[in-house]
Amino acid sequence: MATTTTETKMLTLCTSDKQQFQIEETIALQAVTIRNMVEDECASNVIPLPNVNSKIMIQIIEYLKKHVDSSVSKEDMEKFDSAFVEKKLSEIFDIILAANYLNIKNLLDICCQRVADVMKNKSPEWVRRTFNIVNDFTAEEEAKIRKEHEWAFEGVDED
Amino acid sequence: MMGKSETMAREIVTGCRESDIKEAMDLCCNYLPGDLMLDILSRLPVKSLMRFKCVSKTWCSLPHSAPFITMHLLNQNNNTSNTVVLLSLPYFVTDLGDTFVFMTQPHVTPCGTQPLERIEDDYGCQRPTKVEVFTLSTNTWREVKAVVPCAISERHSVVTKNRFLHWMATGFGNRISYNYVLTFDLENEVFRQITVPYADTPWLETYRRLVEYKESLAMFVYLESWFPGVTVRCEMWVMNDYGGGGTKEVSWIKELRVEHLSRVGRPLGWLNGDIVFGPWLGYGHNVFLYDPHTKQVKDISTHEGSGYFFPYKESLVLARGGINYRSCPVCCCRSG
Repeated sequence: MATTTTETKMLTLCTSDKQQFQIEETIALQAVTIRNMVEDECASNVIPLPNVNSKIMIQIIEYLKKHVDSSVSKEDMEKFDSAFVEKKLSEIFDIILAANYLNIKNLLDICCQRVADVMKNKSPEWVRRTFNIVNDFTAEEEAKIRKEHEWAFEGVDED
Repeated sequence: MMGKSETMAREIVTGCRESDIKEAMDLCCNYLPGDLMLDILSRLPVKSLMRFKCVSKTWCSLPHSAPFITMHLLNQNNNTSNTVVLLSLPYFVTDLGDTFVFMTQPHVTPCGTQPLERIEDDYGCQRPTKVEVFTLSTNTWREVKAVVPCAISERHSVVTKNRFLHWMATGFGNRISYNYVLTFDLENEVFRQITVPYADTPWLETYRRLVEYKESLAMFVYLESWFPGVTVRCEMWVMNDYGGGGTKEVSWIKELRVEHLSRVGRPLGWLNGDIVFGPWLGYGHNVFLYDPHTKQVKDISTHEGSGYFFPYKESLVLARGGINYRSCPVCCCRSG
């Protein structure tokens, strides 16, 4: 192609549902897991990611594209991050799992912080429902602990 | 007091190793792996963690496990504090990690009853100062054999920089007492005294306090006029970067001077660019903020009661039983 002036190296990522994503290598290499794969097996340029589905991959690419851009100011990046985590918790859980697998530290960090922010004023019942945790206390035991920590129940959000 | 239910729950997190609590968290939540769940929980305020003790037995035991307490501390240290508390507790632990230093120390006052000659001989410490270190992870006490060259005068104000602790202290020489900064090197376990500047004014110096200022060590000097109840002054000196408690000479730079203050007490520290002043003796318990740019004083008191001033950071350290704080401790601890 005669008109091509710069050559950008592309990588192909293949998700668990066999979707292929072509993205610039510089964007993809922010994920430490992908970087290690590229460094280890230079021959192949299709990277299999069996732990990430395409729905989550789209969002992760959105995040990586923003964060590779060094012209974005710190303030704008923070704005982007706080808008990015405005999602349903179930979705945030999926992104956490993917970010953990792909080893993208900042993304994992903002998502864990988001979960903590959402849950901090919630009731124990909300926590059990949200995280699917079985209450292994007897009613009596639970009442006792609740009474010992009565002060911690002030200002709890309505479920 | 610990209830029976908590005792049972505590047994789940056995051995207090990080891998144990990860495993326990793995078993109780099937949406996220245990280590990620712990990452999230270590970002929560203490109040939420106490409320969530009702969630399950594993969650109940979590705030008592040493690895989790450490994770929580590290996360809280990343958040910059923008709150202060005034406590009326007799003793307080500032905490930054695993090690606590406690000193059972003779006060300066008992020395007054001794002949002055003795004081010159040994810097006023007739009774040897006992220094003890408490390590959280091993739950053990250890005595440190270190010579303490001067006596701590402000035991509730300690500043931690890198591996060094700093206190305001008093030493004796030539029948006069002098102010010093006493440093303790947590790594080499030695004390050192650093000379301090004196204000060039005939005003009466009545108080000094160490604070952290823009990542440096700084010292407030509080000066009162010889006519009581009129006005007070305050200076702040910043110490140059002296590479910790090394042997290099230390220099101080006068960073600011506040004059014409009326009816404010001692300077306590910085809060979002303002200086916090304590209650004016004999005039209630009000606490004040002073803005060095506008020179305005604002009364921020919300409740009755005076006490000690600390930048506030939440910690689970005290939630864990078993630490005997002894009597009269000067305490602090190591970062990182």
